[in-house]
Amino acid sequence: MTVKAMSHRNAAEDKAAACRQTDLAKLRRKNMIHIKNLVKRYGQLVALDHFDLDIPEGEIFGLLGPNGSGKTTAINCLLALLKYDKGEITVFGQEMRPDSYELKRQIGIVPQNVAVFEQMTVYENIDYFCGLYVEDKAKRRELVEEAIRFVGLEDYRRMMPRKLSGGLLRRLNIACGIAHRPRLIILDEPTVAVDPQSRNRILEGIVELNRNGATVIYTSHYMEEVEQICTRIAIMDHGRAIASGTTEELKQMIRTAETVTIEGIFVTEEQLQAVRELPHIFQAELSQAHTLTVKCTSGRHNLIRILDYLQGQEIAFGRVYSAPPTLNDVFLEITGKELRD
Amino acid sequence: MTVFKGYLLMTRRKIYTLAVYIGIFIFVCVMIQASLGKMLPQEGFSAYRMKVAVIDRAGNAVSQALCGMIAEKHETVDVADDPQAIQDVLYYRDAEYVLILPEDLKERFADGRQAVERVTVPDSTMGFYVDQQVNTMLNQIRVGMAGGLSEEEACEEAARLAALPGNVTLYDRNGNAGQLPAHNYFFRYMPYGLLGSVIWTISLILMEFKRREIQRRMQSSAVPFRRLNLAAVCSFFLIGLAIWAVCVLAGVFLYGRNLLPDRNLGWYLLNSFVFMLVALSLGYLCGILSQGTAALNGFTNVVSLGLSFLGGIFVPVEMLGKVEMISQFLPTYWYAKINDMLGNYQTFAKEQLALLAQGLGIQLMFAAACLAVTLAIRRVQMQERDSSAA
Repeated sequence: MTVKAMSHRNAAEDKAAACRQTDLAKLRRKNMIHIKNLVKRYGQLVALDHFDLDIPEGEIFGLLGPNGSGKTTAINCLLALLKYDKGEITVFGQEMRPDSYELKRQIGIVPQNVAVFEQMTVYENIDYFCGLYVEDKAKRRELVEEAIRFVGLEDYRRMMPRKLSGGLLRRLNIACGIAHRPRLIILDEPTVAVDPQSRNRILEGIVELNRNGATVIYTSHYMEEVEQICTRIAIMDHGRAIASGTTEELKQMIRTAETVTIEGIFVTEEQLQAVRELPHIFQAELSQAHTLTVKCTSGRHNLIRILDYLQGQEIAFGRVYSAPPTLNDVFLEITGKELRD
Repeated sequence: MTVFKGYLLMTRRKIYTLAVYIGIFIFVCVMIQASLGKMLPQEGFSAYRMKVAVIDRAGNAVSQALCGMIAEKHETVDVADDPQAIQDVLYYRDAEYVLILPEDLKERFADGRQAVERVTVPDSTMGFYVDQQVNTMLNQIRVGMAGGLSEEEACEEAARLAALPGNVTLYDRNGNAGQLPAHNYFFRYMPYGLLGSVIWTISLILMEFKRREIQRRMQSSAVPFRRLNLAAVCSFFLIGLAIWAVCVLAGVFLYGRNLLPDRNLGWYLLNSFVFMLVALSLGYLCGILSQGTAALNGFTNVVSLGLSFLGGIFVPVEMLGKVEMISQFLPTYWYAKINDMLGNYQTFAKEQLALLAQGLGIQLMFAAACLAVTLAIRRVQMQERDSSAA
C-alpha cells in the first residue's frame, strides 16, 4: 500500500500568493472597470445575459469559463468593438464608446490568436502596433526596445514571424499589445497551444506587468493558470458571471473542502455506503476503473478516518491522493459540469 | 502615419513579385506590338504585287508588251501551258491569276473583242486590279495605233506609260501616315497590366489587414476608424499611382520618340490614369472577397483576363459580335474605344470630345459603383463577423 498526499501548491507558491494579497490590499482603490447588466444577443443566442463585473485597479483579474461562455464577447463589448443590447460599461470611470480613443490609448489587447503581420519583422510589428498609440518616433523607439527586452526577443528583432517558434510568436503577440505601456492589459487566452516552458515565461511576464502597475484581465479556460496568477477571478457560464472573488473565496463558496482519491480499490455496495456515512463525507463514487473518489466537507482527519475504515474492513487499495478543491470543483459544484466540457 | 507607412512597408515587401507582374505585362505588350508591326505595312504606301502566271501563245509585239508590263508590276510565276498545271498553281495558290494570251490575240484585239483570257482563284477581288492594268495597256496600244503609230511603236509607248509611277498621297488623320502608332498598342494593352498588378498588390495587402485578430487590434487602438480608412485609401492610391507611373515610364522608355511628341499624350495619360482608378476599386473588391492566395490568384486572372477579352483589349470588340452589347458595361470597352480614337485622330470634333468625356465618365462611374459595392460587402462581412464572435 502506498500513500502519497499531494498538494497543488508548494510553499513558494503560497508565499507568492500571500505577497500578492498584500499588494492587492494596497492597490485596491477604485474600480477600473465597471460592467453592469450587460446583455448581448446574436439573434436567438444570448451571449451575455445580464453580465455584471467590477475590476479594481491593480488586479490580475481572471475571467474563467468554458469555450462559448461569453468571455471574448465580454472583452469585445468592453473594448467597444461590439454593440450590445443593454447595460453599461465604464472604464477608468468613463463610459466606453467606439470613439473613446483616449480611453483606448490606455488599453492594450493581446488577442487569442497571434495577430501580427507576416510581412513585417519582429521589430516592425511591435513598432507598428505601438505606433497606433504613440506618435512620437523617439519615444516609440524606446518603448519598442523595452517591450522586446521584456518578452526576451532581443535576438529575433530582424526575423520574420514565420521563422519564429510558437512560443516566440506568442511572446511577439504580447509585445505588440503591451509596448505602449497601457494601464489596462487584456490578455485573451494568451497561452493556447504554447509549450510549458514558454507558458511559464508568459505567466511570469504577466505577473511582472502587474507589478509594474498595470491592471490585467486574463481570460482562459485553463484553471491552473488562472489559479496561479490571478488575484481575483470571475467564473462565467452561459454569459453570466456565476461566481466572483479570490481563489480562496471561491473555494469557500462550495461544499467540497477536500477530495480523497483511492486507486485500485474493490469494495461492495455496502462498504461504499458505509464510507458515505462517515463524518464530513457527502459524496463517494466508485468508477468502473475501480477508483474511489470521496468528497469531504471541511473537517479534520478525513483521510485518516477513511483509511482506518478501509483497513478495518481489510480492503486492499493502491495509491491514495488527498487534494484541496480546485476551481474546476468550484465550477462543477456551481454548474454541475466540468470546466472543460 | 503609422498605418499609412504600414501599407507601404507591406508593398515594399512584395516589390519583387510586383516587378515580375509588371515585367510580364510590358513583355506581352512589346511582343504583341512587334508581331503586329510585322503584319502591317511599315511605309505609307506600296503598290500591291500579285503572283501572276502568263501563258503567251501569241508571241507578238502586243503579247510581249503585256508580258513586260506584268513582269514589271507583279511577281511572275512559270507555269506550263496545260490545264492540269494551271489548276495546280491556282489550287496551291502558287499564282493568284493566270493570264492567257491566245494565238489570235491580234485578231481579237483588232476586232475589239475580249483579247485575253484569264483564270483566277474564286472570288478574287485583286484579279480586277490586273484586268484593269491589261485593259489599260491594250487601250493605249489601240489609241497609239489609231494615232498613226506602228504596232511596235504603240507597244513601246504603252509600256513607257505603264512604267510611270503613280503619285499617291495618303489621307493622314493621326500624323502617322494612317497607321496606328506603336505606343497606341502599348496603351491598348495597359489595362491588362494595370488590372493584374494593382488587383494582386492591393488584395494581397488587404488580406493581411482584414484578418480578424489584426482588425480587432486596429479597431481597439487609439486611431479613429475614419483615419484608419483614410490611411488605407491614401496608401492604395499611392500604390496605384506608382504602378501606373512605372507602366507609363516603360512606355516612354520603349516608344518615347513617338509618344512624347504625340499631341494626344495628355489624353493617353488621362485615360490610363482613370483606368488605374478602376483597377484600384476592383483590387479593393477582390481583396475583400479573396480568402486565400489561391483564391486571389484566381480572382486576379479571371478579372484581368476576363475584362480584357470582353472589353476589347486583346480582340477588337467588333470581332466579338453580340458580346459587344455586354462589353458596353465594362470599363475596358470604353478605355479601348478612347484609345482607338487617340490612335486614329490628332484633333477632335465636339462630338468626339463628348465621346471621350463619356468614356472617361463611365470608367469613373464604374470605379465608384465598384467601391460602393465593396463597402456594402465589407459592412455585411463585419456584421457576419460580429454574429460569429461569440
